[in-house]
Amino acid sequence: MSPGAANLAAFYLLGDRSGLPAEQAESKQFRPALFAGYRDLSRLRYDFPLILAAGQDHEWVRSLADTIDLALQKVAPPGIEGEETRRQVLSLEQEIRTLVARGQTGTLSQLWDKARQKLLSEVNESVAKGLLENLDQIYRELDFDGEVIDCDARLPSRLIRHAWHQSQWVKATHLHSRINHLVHRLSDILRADYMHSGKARGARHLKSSLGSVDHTVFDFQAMARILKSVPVGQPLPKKRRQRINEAISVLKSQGFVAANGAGTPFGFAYEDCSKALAAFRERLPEMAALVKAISIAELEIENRYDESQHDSFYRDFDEDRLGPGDLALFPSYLVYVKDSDDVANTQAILGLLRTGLPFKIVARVVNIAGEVSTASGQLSFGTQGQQLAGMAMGLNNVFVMQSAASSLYRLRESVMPGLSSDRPALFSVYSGALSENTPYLAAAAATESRVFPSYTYDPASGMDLASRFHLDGNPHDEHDWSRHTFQYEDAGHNTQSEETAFTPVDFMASDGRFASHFASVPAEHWNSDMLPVHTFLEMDSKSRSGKIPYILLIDENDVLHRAVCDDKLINAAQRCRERWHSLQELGGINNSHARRALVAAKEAREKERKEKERLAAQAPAPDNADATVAAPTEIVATEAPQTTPAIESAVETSPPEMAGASSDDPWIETIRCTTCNECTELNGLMFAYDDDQRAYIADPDAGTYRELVEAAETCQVAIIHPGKPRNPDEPGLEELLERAEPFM
Amino acid sequence: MSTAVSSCVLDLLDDNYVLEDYQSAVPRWCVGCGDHGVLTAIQRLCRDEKLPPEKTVFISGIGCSSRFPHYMNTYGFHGLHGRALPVAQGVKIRRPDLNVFVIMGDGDCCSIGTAHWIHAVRYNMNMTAIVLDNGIYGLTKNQASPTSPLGQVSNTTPSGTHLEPLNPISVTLGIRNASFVAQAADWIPDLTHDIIQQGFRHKGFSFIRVLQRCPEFLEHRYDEWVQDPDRMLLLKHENGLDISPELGRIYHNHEVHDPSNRNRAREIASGGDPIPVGVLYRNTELPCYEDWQVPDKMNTAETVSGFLSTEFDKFTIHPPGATV
Repeated sequence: MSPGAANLAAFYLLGDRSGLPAEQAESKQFRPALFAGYRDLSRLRYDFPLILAAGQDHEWVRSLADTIDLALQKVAPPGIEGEETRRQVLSLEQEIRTLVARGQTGTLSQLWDKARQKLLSEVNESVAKGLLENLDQIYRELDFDGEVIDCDARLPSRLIRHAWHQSQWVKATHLHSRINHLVHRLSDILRADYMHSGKARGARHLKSSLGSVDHTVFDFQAMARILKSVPVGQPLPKKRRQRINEAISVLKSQGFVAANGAGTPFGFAYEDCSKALAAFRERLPEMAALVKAISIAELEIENRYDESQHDSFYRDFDEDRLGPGDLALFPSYLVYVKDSDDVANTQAILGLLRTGLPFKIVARVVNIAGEVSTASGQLSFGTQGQQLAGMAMGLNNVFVMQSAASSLYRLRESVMPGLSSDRPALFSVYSGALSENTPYLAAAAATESRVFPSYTYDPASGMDLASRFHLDGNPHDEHDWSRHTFQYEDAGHNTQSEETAFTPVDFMASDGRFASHFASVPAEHWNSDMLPVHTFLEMDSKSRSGKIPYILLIDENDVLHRAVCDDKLINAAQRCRERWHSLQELGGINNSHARRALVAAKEAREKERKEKERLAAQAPAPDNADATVAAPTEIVATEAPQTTPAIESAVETSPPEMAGASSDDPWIETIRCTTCNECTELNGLMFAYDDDQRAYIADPDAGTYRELVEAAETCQVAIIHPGKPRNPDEPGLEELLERAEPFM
Repeated sequence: MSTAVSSCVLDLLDDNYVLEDYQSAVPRWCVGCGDHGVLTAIQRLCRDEKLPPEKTVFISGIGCSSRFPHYMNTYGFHGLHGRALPVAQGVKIRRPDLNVFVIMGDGDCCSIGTAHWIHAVRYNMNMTAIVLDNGIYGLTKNQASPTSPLGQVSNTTPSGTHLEPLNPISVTLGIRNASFVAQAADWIPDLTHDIIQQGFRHKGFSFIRVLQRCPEFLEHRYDEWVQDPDRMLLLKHENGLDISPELGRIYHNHEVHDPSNRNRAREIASGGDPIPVGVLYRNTELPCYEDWQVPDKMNTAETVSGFLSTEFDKFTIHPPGATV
């Protein structure tokens, strides 16, 4: 029986398969048509496998392809000259990919060696020599080594854990060296005190400190007598010594960090949220003790510990006093949650993030589409996997990254800030692990189809959304769907090309669980009412009437089929699109507020233009062209006199020190005083220095007018103004007034 | 660097210093010497910046101005002629936590210490170097210095100097790694304070030339500029000095000069009249030498002992049959 249009419509609308042929599709392995080129990923050169850096370098991960390319650039010259080397090395790279795809593990060096041996075993001796030379030459140029990992189920956990170790290494090394430094400096204080003691200056200590060679030459008793006769101040107060010893003891016994980021008594990686939180709480008293010891050490080293002020503060110092800045000193906690779909796990994750403490959570999302059934009372099919990251972003102070495993390498620059920051972080990652396809293909398809878009929300990178939210890692992010040109061969062996899009319906077609929602249609029944899903989705409900959505599938023989999907999948695709639109708006693409503002601005401008035109039409024509030119000049001319006096009056305002300039009192331009001591040495009562050591007249009656005039004459910068004589009976006034004249 | 707790605790401490906290012996400089004003400006700076005296060190060479550390109640090092800078570099590299000031005279810096001066600029270590340039050797009683004006009669140049004076600012601006170059005049003490403050706050080697009057051997060198404020050119900019209204009323001659403009700085520096004062050049991007030299290990007794043992072991001769 062949399905007619009515039967297809019944399937699409009601899920009724009764009019369809007995499902032959179930016997076939259908896949989305765009998967055609990705049957064997190990034959392709792409982002995976990755190499996790063995050392503590800024670059913590690099793809195998990038590593080989960099080495090739150094050794193989461009063009035909380097062609042989390039081919040989790319063959070796291919061999490494095959080894990794088969489950081989190890570092790049180890896998390189195995692949090289395999290649050498396949060629004859004459070729082997050149091959060996070329491969070894490239090997010497490899500047990156470490464990090689593929995009498998464990990738999210291994990759982020590796990055977390790198970020912790920096932090732990920093704190460890700081603690060492403090211990050293505190020991110096105790050592200096000991060196001042009678024991240290005694003959015995002096003798032991010199070594054995010159014992007979020195008279240590005499030396001790001399040293002991020199006063060295008070010994360290007992209380201070005790405080320093206690701080040293806490600093030395801490279990949070070790040298070079090595293992510590405390672990910081967990697979259970509640255990991580319990460990954090359990260690709080020790954290408080360490922070207290560090703080006391810092004060002691600077000699700033004031017992009258600080004793009570530090006596009551406990975990309640710890703030974000203090917690930032310590390693962060990594929590790996294997199945974040579980409701209890979701609650636990959000609970942990809500604390605001530096927990770094890697949540593995397994079932990103959710359940198509409404039995559980949910209608979130299609967008369920995105919920966790969305909720975490709502907490506002949490670093959030949502990404499929396949995009993690491209988003590596964004991973580290989340791990290094002092805030909580959530990495919601779809690994594609339980898919029937390879994890990489499943993960990449989830991103392509908008079922699991990539984005980053980093509250530390700015105050506004434009700085915080980034929609990187999504193909064609300005469009609803990622678009592709699909080429195939028709029955007449002619190449055909078709523009298509990868939608959530295509993604679900790759998952066998949803097979019952598709019905394949033989080519002879294809008709013009069948529309590609992406075209169908663009139509409104009225236009959809009589139309049936289909997607392109291929079977195991790469034969192309059309499959009609049912209404539930179309609804799920619409939900994905709505969610994608919201993300686009957050990322500044097609933002509705901006669009509205733009429309409003255009309307306002249009209105203004029309108003101007209306006024211009009403106004009488100018008598001559010169009048319009002269008008602005007049305005400037009338404004100028108004501004100039304002500036002049500001300049003429006298400063307070110059207040005496118009009076008969003596005065000094204090601001210009160079502290040369001339006047103060002449009369220290009449002239004095202010708090800034600049001269002023403290008491004009504390000396004679003669002294004022002499001070004015000897002042190097001539800033003393003697004023008028205060005592009219002072002898020689006439001559003094004449001498004072230049300084008035 | 300190923890959040320590920072909070330290904020509560009374850190307010007064000028007397930085004053030591009564200066022995001549009455009317320009050094007095610079001393006061720097003591005010220390007070305003709340520099703990025990965390501050003044290092000088030889000359009138090099008596400076004696008059500061901080750590000090009165060194050898021309060698203030190497000592200061040694202090800074071993104790980067200290506030290091270098006080030199024109003979100290521009004659015997020239090599150190050039290389100190190159090394760009975080310190404030101030040249008190009075254009004469005063301590040794009147000999011409590299900055003495042309024709200056002195004990070493009885018929007057024949060489054009060296311009320390132009020279410093010509050194590739220069990061802060400024000029002040001792007779505008408020401005001197502000310029030195800018230099102190700059991370890197701040070179500040202070034109200084010598009342004994070059009595009238700067009289015309002291008596006529309009012959001083004050450089101001939003990234440089802000001229106070009080000073602005006395000194009317201003120029808005962007301290990042090195070419204009060179033009200004080469002009002698009016005398430019202010921040001529500043580059905050240059690395400091001490930042490259942070040791990765602490210099503990154990580290030294371990290092020496390793070195000595290289020369150990193992007799036949001995186990290593």
